[in-house]
Amino acid sequence: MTAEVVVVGAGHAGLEAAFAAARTGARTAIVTMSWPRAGAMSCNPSIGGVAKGILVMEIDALGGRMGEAADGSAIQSRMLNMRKGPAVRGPRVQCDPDLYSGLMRTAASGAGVRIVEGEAAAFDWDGDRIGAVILDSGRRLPCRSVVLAPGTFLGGRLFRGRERWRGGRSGEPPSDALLEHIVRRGFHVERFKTGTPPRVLASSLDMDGLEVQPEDGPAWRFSRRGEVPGPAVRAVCYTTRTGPATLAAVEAGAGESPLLGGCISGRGPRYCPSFEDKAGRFPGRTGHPVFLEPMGLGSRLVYVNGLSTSMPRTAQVEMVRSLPGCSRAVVASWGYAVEYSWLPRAMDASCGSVICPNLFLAGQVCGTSGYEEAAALGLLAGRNAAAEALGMPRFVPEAESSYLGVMAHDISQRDFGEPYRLFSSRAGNRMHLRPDNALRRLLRTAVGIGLGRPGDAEEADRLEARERELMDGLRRTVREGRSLAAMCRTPGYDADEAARVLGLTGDGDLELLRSLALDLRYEGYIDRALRRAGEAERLSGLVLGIEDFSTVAGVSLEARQALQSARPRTLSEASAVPAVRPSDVEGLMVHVSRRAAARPDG
Amino acid sequence: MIPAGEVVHAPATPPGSSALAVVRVSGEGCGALAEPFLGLPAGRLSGMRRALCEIEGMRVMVLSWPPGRSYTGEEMLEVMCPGAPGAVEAVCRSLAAMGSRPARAGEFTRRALESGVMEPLEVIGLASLWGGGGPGGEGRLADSARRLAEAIDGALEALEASIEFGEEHALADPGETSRLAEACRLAGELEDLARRAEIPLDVWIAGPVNSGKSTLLNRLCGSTLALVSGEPGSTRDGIRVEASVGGAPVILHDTAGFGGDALSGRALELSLGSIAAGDLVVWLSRPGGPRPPAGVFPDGIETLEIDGMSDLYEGGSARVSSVTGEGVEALAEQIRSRASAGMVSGHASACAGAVEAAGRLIRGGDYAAACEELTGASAMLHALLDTGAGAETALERAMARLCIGK
Repeated sequence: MTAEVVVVGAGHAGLEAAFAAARTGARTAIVTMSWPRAGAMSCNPSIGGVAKGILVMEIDALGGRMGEAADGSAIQSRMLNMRKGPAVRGPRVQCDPDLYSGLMRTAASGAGVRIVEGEAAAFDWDGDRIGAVILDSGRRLPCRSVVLAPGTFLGGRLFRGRERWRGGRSGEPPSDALLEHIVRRGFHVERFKTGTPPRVLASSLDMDGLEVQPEDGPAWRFSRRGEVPGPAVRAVCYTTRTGPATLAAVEAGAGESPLLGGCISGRGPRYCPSFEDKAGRFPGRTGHPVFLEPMGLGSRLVYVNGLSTSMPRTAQVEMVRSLPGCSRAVVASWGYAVEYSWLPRAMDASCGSVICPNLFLAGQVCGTSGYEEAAALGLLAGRNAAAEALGMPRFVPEAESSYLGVMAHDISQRDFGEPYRLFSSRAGNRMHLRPDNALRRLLRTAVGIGLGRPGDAEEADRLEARERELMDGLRRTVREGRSLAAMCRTPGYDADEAARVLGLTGDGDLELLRSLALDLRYEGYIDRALRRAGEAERLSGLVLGIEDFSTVAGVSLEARQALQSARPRTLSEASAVPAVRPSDVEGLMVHVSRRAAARPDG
Repeated sequence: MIPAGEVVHAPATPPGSSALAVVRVSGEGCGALAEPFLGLPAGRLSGMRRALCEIEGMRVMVLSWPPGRSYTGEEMLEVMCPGAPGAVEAVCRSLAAMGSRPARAGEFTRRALESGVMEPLEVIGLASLWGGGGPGGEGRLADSARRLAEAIDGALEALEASIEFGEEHALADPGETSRLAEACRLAGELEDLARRAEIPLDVWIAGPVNSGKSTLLNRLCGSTLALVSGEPGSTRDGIRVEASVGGAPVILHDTAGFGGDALSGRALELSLGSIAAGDLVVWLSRPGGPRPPAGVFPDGIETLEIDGMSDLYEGGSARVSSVTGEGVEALAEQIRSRASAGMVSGHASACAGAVEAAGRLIRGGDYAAACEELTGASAMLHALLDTGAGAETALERAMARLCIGK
């Protein structure tokens, strides 16, 4: 069997890409150096978080597998931001990583994805198109399109103290041949870095004095489809804090730190920094929270979340032992930093390469960080690689209706000086991109683009019909002179009250009604966001004609500085500058429209 | 709209018998234009320079200002000459001869605004200062708006950080309430300053005799200010009161009625004295009663037609009764929306509303919606600060108050 789509890499991006390509109808093969390591959680064994958790629900609505696997391996669940608004709730679970990757690998066999073990070393070119993926063994995999998802393996270099070695991940070789090949082929690459904390032996910790992190239990799930029950056993996570001794350990080892010593040139994620970064950035703050999270139900290891580091081993021991509850901790595996290559501004919003028509990119190679970001882009890249192979139109998600769209547009249009992490504030239409309506936002799309699973078309019909009925009920039912719909718009009104009036009983109906009530309550905000997006779209080609950005009012100080050094010519170029947020673009629009009014001819 | 590059001039000092007078010239290339006329070598008036020369045999001092450093932000000249009216006229004549045209009222300030050296709120403040408006002048209005914007942006940033990282990094809750309380206070301060600096909406209550105009005025300001009687034509002299309608500052004028005897005809004329500067006429008649006569009110003034005495008459559309209060609230709202549209004070009160709503939302556990409220207020304030967007009415009124030479 000749594959139509070949996916290079079997991490979170590669696997979703393979599932999506296969579901779209392409014969799909996935190339990985080690199948048993496919779907591994190289860093924190957790899925979700603020915005990221909603992204996982979107992946699920679009037929992806991450949500089900996360549900099926969840050993601790927390809904973040419970008291900060329904639009920004962050579902997050701690996973058993072996269970998680096992579920993903099983799903791959179920999806009919062909697994090829080996190292992708080069592409066979047919003009500007890729004709085949060539393995280091010399084996040739002919294909119609390729998804490249090598993660940190692309030119991966690992660092810890004075130690440095080649590797994509601790104990696994990097992918150097492929990097060399694409660079020779004219792809521009840059370096990023990321890192991971040490893991300690659970038996060496003294949890007695530590605070247990409260959890929700299995109260909610990412997936609306999942049949896989999560493990009944729950894990207990603890919180502790760094102190002056932790900082002292960093200072003592600073001479040997590859990061502080400047050996690592790649920029790291500002929002998930190593501890030595944090120490440098917040010099006055000694206490940073650290979470002790079990590496799975059967594991003897505990992940020290918050202590990502590439300090030398001696310093790592000191740092860990400075934490309350860890004074006798035994480090079982060491933290390290990894530097890797990525392709800046290399893809369009369909995840397609801007220079090779049948190459698609996903995950860290496009500059993202995080499992969820990788998986979502993987799904998009896989779907469109299949579309390319089968002669179907590509799918470009809208930034106004999904976080996937926000990300695809950001990555294709913006420059970023650090690994891209999804935030809720990156969405211009945040009040619409909620967890409660993920299915309503995307199920119909999934069916339309061929990603729907059996029964999804009927489910989409049923949901839409029920939505119309309930909305009708809300608008037509009047109590004390006001419709229920009007009451739902009132702050503080409990939508369950409307459900009682309408006589709704089922869980599904109740959930849908609560979601519709939020649609109504946030209607004004959502309309405004859409107007803003339309206006920005209309003005995107507008020439700014601004020489001095430092005095433009309505633009944040951070953005002004970034604009001043980038000197964008048009509004769309300005929106691409890192540190420029949607609200800054709005400020620029105001500024420009004033110019236009003052000088109609100029 | 001012065509770029056009050179304009005007005396900047009052006519009379001062020792010295200054004539201002502004526009791209005004130095090069003036040099041959003043017998100066080319380039003599570029940059910040000073030159002694002669105009019609009279010694004058010319100061030149480069673009960006002058009042208007354009290249400018200031010609100092003797204060005698004849001397000023001679300078203006010479300037006109070299191709400059006399500036219109407030044109220098308008140019300063359009070239960006002056902020819209400064213009409003400046006009208030020149108009004897007391404190609230010049930068204070803009400063106050800027402080409010900073407070709102600060609260917004803390809220966003709390949403994205609060639980992940176990941040302390930002204690938004104190920042918001500060924003609320600043919104009040801005509103107060703006009210003092802005020229309020000028509303004229007119209509046939004995249609209840004075009663309506009393109703609208919520107190008995106008003498009321059942006798037609009780109001003779007209009344002018500064009032707050629905929280917005307005000037209400009561007028003598239309259609009375000869004496009231004269009273009407007198009471309509300054209506040329009015913004709105509330024509209070009764269902089927007389409509506003043509040619009495100035062109362009908006007229709201109201059917009054709805307690006594059937029918009509915009029914109002000053006796029962029917329709008065709706009318007040119409006046309020006109009074705050395009006014800084209107924005300030909208900001205060948004900040209060944000506080309620935070307490109710919806930080995201609070962010939306604050984002809206912040965008409004920045647009106001940067371009004067939303303060068009206030700006127009401020400019209209400026005279030639300012």
